[in-house]
Amino acid sequence: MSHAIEIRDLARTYRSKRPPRSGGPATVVALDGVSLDVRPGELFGLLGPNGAGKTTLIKVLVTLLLPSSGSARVAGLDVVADARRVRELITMVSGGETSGYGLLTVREQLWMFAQFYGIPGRRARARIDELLEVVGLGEEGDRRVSALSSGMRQKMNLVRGLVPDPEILFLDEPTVGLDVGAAREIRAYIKRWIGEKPNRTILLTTHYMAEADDLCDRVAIIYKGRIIACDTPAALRRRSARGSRFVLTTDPLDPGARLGDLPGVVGTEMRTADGRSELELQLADDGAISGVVRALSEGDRKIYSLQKLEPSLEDVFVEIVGRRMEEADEPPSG
Amino acid sequence: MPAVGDVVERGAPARIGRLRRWTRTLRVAWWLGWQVESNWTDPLRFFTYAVARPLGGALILYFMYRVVAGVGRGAAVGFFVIGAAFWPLVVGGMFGMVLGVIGDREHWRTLRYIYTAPISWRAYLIGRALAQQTSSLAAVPITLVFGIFVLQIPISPGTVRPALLTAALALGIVSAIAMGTLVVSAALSISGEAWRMPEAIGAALYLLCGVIFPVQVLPGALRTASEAFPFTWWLEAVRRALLGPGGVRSFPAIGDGAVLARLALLAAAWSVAAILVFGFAERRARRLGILDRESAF
Repeated sequence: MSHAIEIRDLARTYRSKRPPRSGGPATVVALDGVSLDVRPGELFGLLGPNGAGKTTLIKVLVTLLLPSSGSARVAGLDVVADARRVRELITMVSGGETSGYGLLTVREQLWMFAQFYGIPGRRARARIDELLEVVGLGEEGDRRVSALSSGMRQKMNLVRGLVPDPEILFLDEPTVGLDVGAAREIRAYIKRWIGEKPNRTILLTTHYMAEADDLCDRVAIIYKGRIIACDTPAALRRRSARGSRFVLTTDPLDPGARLGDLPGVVGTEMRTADGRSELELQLADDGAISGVVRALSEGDRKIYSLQKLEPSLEDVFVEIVGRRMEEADEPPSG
Repeated sequence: MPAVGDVVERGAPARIGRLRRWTRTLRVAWWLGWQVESNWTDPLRFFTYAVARPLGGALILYFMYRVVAGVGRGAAVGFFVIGAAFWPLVVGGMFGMVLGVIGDREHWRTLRYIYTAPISWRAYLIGRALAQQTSSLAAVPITLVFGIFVLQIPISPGTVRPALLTAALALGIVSAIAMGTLVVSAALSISGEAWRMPEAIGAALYLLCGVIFPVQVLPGALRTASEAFPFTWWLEAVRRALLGPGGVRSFPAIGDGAVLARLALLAAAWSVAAILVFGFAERRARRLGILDRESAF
């Protein structure tokens, strides 16, 4: 198996619920010719605004949804022709929902799913207890699911996805709706889980830039059903055409100070407050900062701080799409 | 903190035979269905509810018969008490299956996880149906004992034919599951309101299949339609197995063997149709993207 996930020209359209406007389309394109490869052992992120097609792609890969055209293979198996065998190797966890049989206890619910995956009873119980401890639900095992908070339910669902120890784990917005602490715990555990065995693969969808940056080996940015960029987070950031950006704090400068005329300085923004000026500098390259520092020193200005601003995935997204992530949300398809 | 890898030796779930997977799914789904059916209250209240429900239904019919038809005891009472006692098996089968889809999709929101587990979804839904039927079946002896001792319906060790009863019961359960599969196939394409379908279809079949009156009293076209449903023959076979030759019959001219044969034939035909329709409906739902689409419960 050369790829854990292999997607070729995958398209998915839905019939629109709303009547088409005059001349408008009667179908909504959720995925538009997506091609992707995810390597075994990789934690791969799919980053995009709401409605970009992330969940649709996961639904096709976990055999919930048939593609309109194109192909997708999971663990070398076709998701349409070999759906049953695909299901033996995967699990899925969706965030932001409160799924679970409220009448069962947490242990009963997890035991039931373990049975569906053919895990012998004693081993299943041991694994459930162990994972509940790991996610901090050790004391909640005998509580009814209906009595859990939404954060606890989300952790329980993560355990449900981990109990079968899948080869490929699909995480659809796993931290959405969680408080900061719970989200951090889940991220930390995801990192640890994939690091424990070399053959484990995770496909994670998120619209949190920092989450993708922090967790993922590679990230694909999806927008309007198309993959518009795919690389490591560092390589994506390097693509940013903004050049070099620095923030510098110094003694107050005259509003007329002409730092913009210095060689290599592309743009400047200045704010003065509390007796100091903060300069945000856009430079053609990193080397141009030395000219700025020299000019300030010659002008007898002290420099209190100097920080290079790394481009973020948000910058990359804005440059490619022309809008910020939250401005790019699409209404749900279908 | 413990490492998960210490417990699990192999990443992939165990690969087991198809039959084993099927029976395991059936068993676990039955367990789940029973928990959902019985776990909503304490055991005493559940028992009271389980006893009061069928007895209440039978008593309502009894008093209706007494007032409207002037029938107070004997074979005619036996006819509708048996119908009222066994009919919940049909509705329970349909209801259990629909809950397996609509309840999982809209209320528990677990359908996508159940569906993407390495199970037979059909076995899962049958397990859910059987759990409901278990509850219905448990109420049958209570209703019959009440009927024998209070309403004096003529059932005695001499009239009961266990072999015919067992065969009829098994075929009736199969038929109810086939009907439930057809109903659930429709429910896959319908919003959360589809949970009302078992009651609506059950009510129509209640009138059509001779539950409380012999099908001869139906107009010609409806009588022909009723003969196409296995439940008509199932109730006829169950009544013959319990009441013996003295009972009121829907088909007095047809022998017991022929009744059972028609029941078996119709159960098989409806089961094949159900499998085909369900396969089509499931694939259509996956194609349209509505398999796990929630509406409102």
